[in-house]
Order: sequence, then C-alpha cells, then structure tokens
Amino acid sequence: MKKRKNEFRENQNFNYTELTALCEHLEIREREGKKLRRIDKYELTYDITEPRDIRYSAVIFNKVLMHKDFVATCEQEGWEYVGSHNELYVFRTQNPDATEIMTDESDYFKIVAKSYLKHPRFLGVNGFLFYILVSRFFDLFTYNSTIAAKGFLMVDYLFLVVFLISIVFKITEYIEWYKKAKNAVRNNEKIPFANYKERTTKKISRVIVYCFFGIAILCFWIYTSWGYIPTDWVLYVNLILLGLITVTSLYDYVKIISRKKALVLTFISILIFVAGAYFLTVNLDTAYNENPNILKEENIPVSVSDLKSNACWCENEIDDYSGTKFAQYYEIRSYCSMHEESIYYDIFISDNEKIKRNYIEKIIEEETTDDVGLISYNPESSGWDEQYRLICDGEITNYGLAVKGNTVIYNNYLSDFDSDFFDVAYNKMFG
Amino acid sequence: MPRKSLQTLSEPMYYVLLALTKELYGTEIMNEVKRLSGGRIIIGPGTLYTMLDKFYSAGLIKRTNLSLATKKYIITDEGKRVLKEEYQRLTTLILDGKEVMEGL
Repeated sequence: MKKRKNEFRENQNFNYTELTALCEHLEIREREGKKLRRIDKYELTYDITEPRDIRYSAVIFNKVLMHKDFVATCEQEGWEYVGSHNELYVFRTQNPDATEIMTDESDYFKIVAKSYLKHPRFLGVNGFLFYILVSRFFDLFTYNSTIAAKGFLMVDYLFLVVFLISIVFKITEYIEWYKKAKNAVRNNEKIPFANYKERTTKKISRVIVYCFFGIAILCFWIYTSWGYIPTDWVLYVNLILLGLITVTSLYDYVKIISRKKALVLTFISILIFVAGAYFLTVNLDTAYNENPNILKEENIPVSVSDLKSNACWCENEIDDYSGTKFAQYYEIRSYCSMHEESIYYDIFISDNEKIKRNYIEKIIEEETTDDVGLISYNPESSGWDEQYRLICDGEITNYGLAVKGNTVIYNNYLSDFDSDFFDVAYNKMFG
Repeated sequence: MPRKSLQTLSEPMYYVLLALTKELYGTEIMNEVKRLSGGRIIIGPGTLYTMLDKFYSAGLIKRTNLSLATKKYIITDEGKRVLKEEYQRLTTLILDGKEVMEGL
C-alpha cells in the first residue's frame, strides 16, 4: 500500500502479553503528534496530527458474535474504537474517568497460552530449517569431498546448537509462565507477565524486513538445491544463514536471558549442546571417513583406462549424487580427454533389500517396451548376484544392469559397453 | 478437582445475572451491577462481554431486540434456576457461619 504524506508507519512487535507496554507506547506516540489509525499484524499506521494527551486501552476479546455489542458498549462508556487485529482490540479516550475496559483473565489466559506456543516471527522458518537440517544429517555420511563435509559438519552443528537453544528458551519460558498464570487464574489474580515496560517498537523499516526474508528464502533455495555440492560457496551461504538465524532466534530471547534463572539455564544448555555437538561431530567425522559406502576418487569403480588398459590420462567424476540414510545414488562419468571418450553409469547402494529391489524393478520397467527389454542374463562365472542385459531384436546386448550385495551398477546411457565392463567393475568394487 | 464451569458463580457473574432479571444492554448492565453492589463491583466491557458470551452459550441469558445495533439481554428460566441455586448456596454459607460468627 502506498504511504500517504502525513502518515507514519512502524513495526508492530507487541504480543498479547504486552498490552500495557503497547498502550504506553501509543500514548507516547500521541504526545509526539502521531494518532493511531490502523493496527495490523506486523504494522501500526499513524496519522500525523497535533500532539495530544490521550489514554489508550488494549484488550483481548475473542467473541466474534458479540463484536458489535462490545464495541458499541465501549463507545457508550466514552472509548473511541481505533481498530482490532484478531483478538487484540485498541481503544482510546480523552476522558480520564472512563471505565477501564479490562480483559477477562480466564479468557486471556487461554488465548495467551495458545498464542505463546506460536513463535512470534520465525516459527515457520525454524520448522523448515529444522526439516532441512535433519535431512542433511543423513546426507552428511555420503559427501564426496572430505574437506567440504567437515565444513558442513561444523556449520550444521553450530546451526543445530543455536536452534536447540532457542527451543529450550521458548519451552522454559512457556512452562515457567504457564504454571504462574494458571495459579493466578485459580486464585482470581492478575496473570503475571515479565516487565516489558522498557521495550519500545523497533525502528526497522519494512524494506529491511522484506529484504531479510528475500535473502533468507534465497539462502534456503541454495541450501536445498546445492546442499550436496561440495563448493566453498555453499559453505559461505551456510555461514550467512547461520548468522541470520542466530540473530533472529536470539532476538526473542534476549529479554529472557536478562533474567537470572534463565541465564543459568542458558549456560547449562549451551554447555550441554556444545559438548553434544563436539562429540557428534567427532563421531560423524569418523563415520564419514570409515563409511565404506562413500565413493572416493580412488575407489570409483570403472574408468576408460581400466577398460582400455592404456596409459592415457583419464578422470573419474561423480556427475550427480543424492543420498539418504537408507540409500546412495551416484551418476558417474569416466572420461579420457586424450581420446575424447566417456562412459556413464549409475551406482545405487542400499542395505535395505526392499529399496534396492524397488530400484531394480523401476529400471527394468522403464527400459521395457514392446520390442526391447531387460532380461535376466547371469552366467555363473560373472560373480554378480544378478545381471540383466538389454535384449534387442532377439539378441542380448552389452547394455544392462548388475547386482552384487547392496550395490547395483547400471549403465544409464545407450553406449554399448565393452563386454569386459561388468567384469572390470566387479573386480574394482568387490575383487 | 477442577470446578465445573458455571456450577458456582464468581461475584461479578452473580451480579450480572442479578442485573439481567431486567432487560438491559451493555452499559446498563455495567451501571446496574455498580448500583446493586453499592459501587463495590465495577466491570469493564471486556469482562462483561466475555461473561455474557459464557452465559449465552450456556443458555442462561438470551438476546432481545435483535434488529437493533445494540442488543439487549435478559435472563432465561435456566439462568433464573442457576441464580436461585447460587442465592441458596450463599444463604447456606451465611447461615452455617452465623452461630460461629456471633460467638466471636
């Protein structure tokens, strides 16, 4: 929406537990000549006017059916209805003797208890990041670059530490408040809240907020799309993301940290998580190096030179990789730059028999048409558990798929392999 | 054991139901509660409408003049029954304590 000339906007950072602070803030704004016109979820809009000494009232009320009656009665009591967002209603009056509107405490408790569980700004983002984080831990075992993997390990664990600390903060705050508030409601007392009187609305322009979200979304995209590509860029993106999340997560908890009890808890949490992260990092690092499923350059099974047995300069490359805890999938390219020859094949590794079988059946199904299909062809001397070859015009070709233990090797391009291909692959992988 | 909702009435609830033995709208209810309690109980619109909503949901009150912007409210037969029960409960409390209190 276009900003008017005599209009002032600012971020709305007050939550349901900060009604007094919100009123005080609005009264200060009135004295500065800013009259509240509209209240939205994230924004307060003011009209620039003459400074006035005016009284504000912010209440929580969630009876949709009685909305009109409620507002009308408040107006009859001398209150001017300014606006509402969800359950938050804002009124103002120039009459110092107007009856206080007051929020019903038992109702207030229910609403706040529900809203407390929602992270005010980044619940969704945190949830999404947590999902990525968890997924990426499975991937970590199979990175094809040790250096990059180590970098990722450190970043991911730092990330996890920050994330978990923020959750501990939130849960502690909630439990602490819930106990006190429930007792207060039972004893007909006011629900206790931390003293947020000193707090004022942040002066961050919307542009910065939107830019932040834009950058964050871009980072997520890179994070998810490039997550397994071992480049320095991804590492930097991770570090930037970590910084952003640290700042945004900690912002909400600074007020809790200032409390003595929470400070002790914070230190204990940090110690526990750092220690946990350290041991997990060491363990994962060891697991990475000892994981036999990770294809490293020296143990990529087949190259052109293996097949040609000549001295030309050949390189192995993993073109693509995707992995989970349950299976790893590689697209491998071996090429000879001198002869400009390449061979392509896929390796699929899974200890889970069902997953492996699904993969094999999917390939067979894809390759089977009316006159072409993969058929079982496995001479005993081959050493493979299973072997399938493409049958074309009634003849068995050298194109196909072979299985040994938890590994499936499959040439995914219609380059007719040397008949030695599967033997060479077998010997390099298992021999 | 948690108290069953509206089984016993809080002080403001009791006065609101007392006030609603006459057909009243919001501000009138607030004024009537203040008058009945001798200025001791003052309820704001926030508390009042939360209570009215509870009473309305429980069938203790009904809304009248629905066509007008400001609705009026009046106690129902069920509301009268709850109010009488509460009155009897409070009277019993007073009578039970009478002997002891007079001896003090």
